[in-house]
Amino acid sequence: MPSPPLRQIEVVRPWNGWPAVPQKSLRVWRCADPLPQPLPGETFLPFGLGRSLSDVCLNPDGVLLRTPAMDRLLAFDETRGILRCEAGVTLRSLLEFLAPRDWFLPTTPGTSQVTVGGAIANDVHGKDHHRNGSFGCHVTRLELLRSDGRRVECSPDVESDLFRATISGLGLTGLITWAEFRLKRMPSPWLDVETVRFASLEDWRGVTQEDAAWEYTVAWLDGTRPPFPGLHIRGNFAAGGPSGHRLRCNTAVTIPCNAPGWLLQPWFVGAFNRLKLLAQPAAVKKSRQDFQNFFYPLDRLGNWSRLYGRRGYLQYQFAAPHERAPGLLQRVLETAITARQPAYLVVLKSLGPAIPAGLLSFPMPGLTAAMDFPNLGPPTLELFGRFDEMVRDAKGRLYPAKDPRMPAAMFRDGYPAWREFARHVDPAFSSGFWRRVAGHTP
Amino acid sequence: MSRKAVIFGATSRIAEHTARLLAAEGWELALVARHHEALRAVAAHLRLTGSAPVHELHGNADDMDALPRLADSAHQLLDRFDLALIAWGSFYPNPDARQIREMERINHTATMALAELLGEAMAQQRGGTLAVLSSVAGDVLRPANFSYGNTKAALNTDLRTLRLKLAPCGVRVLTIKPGRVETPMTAFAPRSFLTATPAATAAGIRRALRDRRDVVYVPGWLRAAFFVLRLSPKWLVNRLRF
Repeated sequence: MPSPPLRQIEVVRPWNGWPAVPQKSLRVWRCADPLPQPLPGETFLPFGLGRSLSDVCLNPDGVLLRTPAMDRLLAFDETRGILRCEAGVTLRSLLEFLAPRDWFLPTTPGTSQVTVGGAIANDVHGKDHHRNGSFGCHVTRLELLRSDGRRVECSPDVESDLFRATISGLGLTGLITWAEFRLKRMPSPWLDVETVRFASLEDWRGVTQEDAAWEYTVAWLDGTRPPFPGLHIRGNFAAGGPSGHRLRCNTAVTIPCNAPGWLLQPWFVGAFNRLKLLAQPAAVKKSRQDFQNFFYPLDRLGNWSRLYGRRGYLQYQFAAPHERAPGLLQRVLETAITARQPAYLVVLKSLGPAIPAGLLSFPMPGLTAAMDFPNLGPPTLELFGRFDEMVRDAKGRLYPAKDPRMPAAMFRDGYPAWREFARHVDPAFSSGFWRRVAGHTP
Repeated sequence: MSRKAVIFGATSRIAEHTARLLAAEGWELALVARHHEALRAVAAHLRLTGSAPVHELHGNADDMDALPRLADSAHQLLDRFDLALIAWGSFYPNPDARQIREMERINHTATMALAELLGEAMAQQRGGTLAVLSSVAGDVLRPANFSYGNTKAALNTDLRTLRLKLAPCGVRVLTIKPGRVETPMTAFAPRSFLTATPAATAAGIRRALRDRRDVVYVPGWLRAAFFVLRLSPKWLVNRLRF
């Protein structure tokens, strides 16, 4: 009589460090393995590298199915640029394989430390969303292992409903065992980058008018003082650089432990931001950057979220339609300053008109802003509650992968397809996030 | 010409990671495992990331009579073994009689039978390394490793004699002793800070293949730890919890 596999118990936190939850977990070793038997009342949730900033990656009282051992590349069609790999493969290891062969990811989030399964389940987007859509737009096929033992191969044509639910499905529709997706040719490992200074949000809107020729764009701004000056960064892959590029590890320093909570003070961050702006006196700076430095600047600092201390940080990320977004952003940032909790890091991206790949896909045509706040507990949560009202008025929505406290009403308003989605949720799968926003009324 | 390795139990996590290091260096590989689908995924990855051919062979440590044929087919595929790695193994916590027999068969009897066969082939080519995955469990017997530790202790002793036998023919016999590694085989036990990753263990094995020791501990500090443990009085060791 084989005993059930041991559930390892450890404290798991999302990347932002909050909430920390003692969690049972099991490892999935290979695609071909069956799902473990759930004990009575137990639910599963796939867990890759835990880089989301919310409880979409937590399953308190349930079990995490850890996928990083499913790390095999399965097939690569070099002529068509299509790759098939197991769901636990990280974007980092994909790049180690692709870059020397002059291929690149179809689109990439701001870190390479995520798994393919996680990129699909959160339908992540990147600096090129206005051109290329989200990661899910490039997935051609995937296999889903359901708790009833079925293996369902889905694609935009076969089992398309389940496919659309799985992309952006937050791991709730079953375990993605492998996925196949289209790649992009990389003309060289270098990007031609233009960094434009702007003095205010209005100014920034002017700058973005000239974005049409640029494939990758992103803006950083100083949220600690109005009228919010910042830098608009845009890049294109440079043509015909050296090929056969070998990827170096670009992590220069790793933060060994949590910094003391008082380290990051508003005045300190404000001074840092000023210095960052002063470092570029020119209105426009042109440079050539290695693709790793361009796409993954924060990967250079390992475990950087520990700088925020034991309580971690909270990110507030919304998407809103073009016409309302700038006003909304202005109001949100000003409210934060009035509440004496300015946003430490603000990043803006424009979102294109791509048809959403999944039922719960976050991007909508317009603009998204991600703002990092140190987690001060109730005052921060109260502040976020006030943001919620503004976002709702502007017909915006919040990003499940970034929000460990999103009220159920915000989720249901932002994602009207959630009821349709709920029909595809595997009965043995659940997450802390899902129980919070969907409750028990599917 | 690329170097050639045959790996038995190639779908084990440690063997798979070792194979990845070898494939990245351009080794030609013959992989032997019992699960077709698992082997196919392991081999697919190695083919994509490596440059030399990767062969798949199906074989089972439990099928003693088929071992000569298995060693033969591997030899026909590669023609020469620069490295033969036996990485299969079986572990049961609190084993019953059937499980004790299975561990004895796979960890000791089948492994030694195969090692003999491979040793003969390598003696004929007058060179090569025969590496066998054992365990520190054979060094100091613990109740938690009941019977498993014994199979590994027996394996270690037999490898010593095989080493003496093959040394004149220029064949090196390497005994690899990892500590606890995070693999499906140890999934029954709680992880601790001492648990190593398969990738780190494979890196240790790759280093050991290059240098000249007969017995290697992975990670290396385990050698000192187990040296002390073996010298310590029984009453003290029996009180330790690990």
